[in-house]
Amino acid sequence: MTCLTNLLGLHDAQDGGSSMAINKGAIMYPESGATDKDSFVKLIVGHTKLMTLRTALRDALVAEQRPLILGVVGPTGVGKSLLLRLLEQDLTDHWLAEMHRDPSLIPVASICVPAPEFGSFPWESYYHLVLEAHQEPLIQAKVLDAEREHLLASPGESRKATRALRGALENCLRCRRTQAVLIDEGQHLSRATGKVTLADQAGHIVDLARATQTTHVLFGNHELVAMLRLVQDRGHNVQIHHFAPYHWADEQERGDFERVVYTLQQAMPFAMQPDLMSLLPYLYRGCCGCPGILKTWLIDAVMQAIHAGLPTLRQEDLEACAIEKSKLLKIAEEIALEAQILHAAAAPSLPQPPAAVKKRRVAERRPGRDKVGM
Amino acid sequence: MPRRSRIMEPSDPSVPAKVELPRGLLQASVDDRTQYFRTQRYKHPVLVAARDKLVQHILHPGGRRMIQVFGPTGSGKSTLCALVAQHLTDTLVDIQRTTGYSTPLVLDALASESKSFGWKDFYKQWIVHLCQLHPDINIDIGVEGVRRTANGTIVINERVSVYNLREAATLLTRQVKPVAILIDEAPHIKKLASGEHVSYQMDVLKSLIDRTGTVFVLVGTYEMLDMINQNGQQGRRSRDVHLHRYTAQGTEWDAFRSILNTLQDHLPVARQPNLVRMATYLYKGCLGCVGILVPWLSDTLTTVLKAGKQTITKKDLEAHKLEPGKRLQIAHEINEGETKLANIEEKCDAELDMLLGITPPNAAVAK
Repeated sequence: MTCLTNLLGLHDAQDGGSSMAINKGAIMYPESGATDKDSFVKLIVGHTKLMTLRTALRDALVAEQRPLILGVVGPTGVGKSLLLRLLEQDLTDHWLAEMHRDPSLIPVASICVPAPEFGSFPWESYYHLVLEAHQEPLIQAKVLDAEREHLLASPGESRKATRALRGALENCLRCRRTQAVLIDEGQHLSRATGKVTLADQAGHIVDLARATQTTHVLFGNHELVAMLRLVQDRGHNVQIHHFAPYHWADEQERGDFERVVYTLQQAMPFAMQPDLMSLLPYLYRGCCGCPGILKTWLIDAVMQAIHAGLPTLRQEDLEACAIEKSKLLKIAEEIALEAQILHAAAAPSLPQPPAAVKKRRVAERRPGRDKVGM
Repeated sequence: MPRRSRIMEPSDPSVPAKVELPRGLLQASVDDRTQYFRTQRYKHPVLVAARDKLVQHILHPGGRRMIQVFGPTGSGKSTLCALVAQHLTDTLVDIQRTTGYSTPLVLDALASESKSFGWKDFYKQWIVHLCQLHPDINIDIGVEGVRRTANGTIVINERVSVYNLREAATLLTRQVKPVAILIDEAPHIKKLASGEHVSYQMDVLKSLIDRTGTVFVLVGTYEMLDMINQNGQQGRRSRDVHLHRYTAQGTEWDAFRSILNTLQDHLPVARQPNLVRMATYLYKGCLGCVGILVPWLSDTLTTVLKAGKQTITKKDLEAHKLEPGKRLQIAHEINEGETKLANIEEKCDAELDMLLGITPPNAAVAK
């Protein structure tokens, strides 16, 4: 197993040894040649960028001095939602012992904010979601206080209710000692029209985070950047991480992408392993370098091939399930735009994206990582 | 009278079966006869192909649960909606057993009186339709203002917020899991208040799809082209189905003539007219759209029958032909849509490669 992991080079072996979540099956490799389609669908490839960001974010969130706002900016299908899930797992693991000691502690809550139908983002829907996320794990074990229950039943009825809801939320985050709220589709929070400005929305989230001492981790696309920058300009502790897709032009990243394809190819539930390595440029173009898009595409194609009773995956199947060129173009445009936005506001002299992710060399040890007294 | 046994002649598979009108139809009243002609669902090749594709996509959505169907006015979009819903309902026993999904839901994106699309009305319609389809649905989902009266009708309080309505709609949908939600006249969704983007509206749909876990089918005219590639997130989650008109060339022209053949067989008149011989004339009159052709013929049929005539002539048809101005307008729309569509796909390759930083395509790249 370790051998295979090393061979694939998807993450270094030491990392796999120390992080609990990895051993807990966050990443699955095919046990042998024969895999069924379910395990292919569920397979999570721990590719380099995902794992690097995962550690970086985890470290930032368990540090003494936590940032107020953490932003993870990346295009669609790069793996943001997956990262969120893994991170949630990691953080729960980190505070597990403490949770046993203090059952009221909920260290991390995750939500996915819906797009507002019109106008600015309505904060009551955010309050509602976070409260919901907090009650879920212990809903049976806990007696709800009557007042809050009443409020939950009618969010957004009036401004008074909204204010009360916010009070309930702050109270909840404080009492639960929630360390981090992970917010998917965070760009929806930055929607502002009419009287509400982007600065208002940015101010609101900072207020919340500050009042409750909870780090807000926003996952989103390029639309999120403007809000994050605004918060940053006000001198608050904000980290922006760029979750970029793999660049074809960069040889190392191309190699990483190649390994993702290879891992997926090996896990395919076919008697005869297809040869995807010869199709690399084609596959890259079909997913714009985003592993998430690649994965969904391959699942579609594999399912179709299995349905047709084929012994292996043909290029025709890939072709039939590919995303239309016009849509890919849109995705590629957004990727370019995102890189541009993130580059522009960073110091122009920096050739690298301003992502706070520090690339460590393979096998270089990270200080303070080892657990003591287990 | 002794009963005569019917002898079937062996039929040639290459020749379409001769349609037999229901017995006694020719003696029926004018209304019954026109009704018969109008309500037949003519399954022409483009429609059938689109239906099969759509059903396939709905049952196996993969990662892409937004399906966008577009075509010119009168290309049979509403018929397609009905056909797909019908097909899914018919095959539902199988679907239900394997997946637990229920009948598809057909909604209308209503044009709103106000400046922007009325999401509130849309959610209300959604909730009401869902409850009608599933009388036994548990409506007590913790959303205030949505309740069922004693006689089973759904009452929604005027003051319920959009947020609550959305919550109710998604929760109810998750409860019964309709196999798909078809939204007719989808371009109405892009109607906007000032200061908003079409892209934002598509984000709402994306959120709904993610929250409900259901396949959404958006159906509309070529106006849809302005909303299908709004942002990358939408692109990754969607598929396109083009329901095109019949062109006057090659196999499509043959298909058009064979549709005329079917239609003339279904005309409940004493003496069957030869529509196929008038193909060019009829084509110009309907621009290759079956959805324009059928109402045209059925209007003509009514007049002819009322006048007590035996058959339909070109003169009768001429009286009910779409006005030249309208036809020109439709032709322009079709042309615009088709050109746009061709442009979208055409310019992609080079630009995509440029943006992705791929060196000129090498031998391994397909086609």
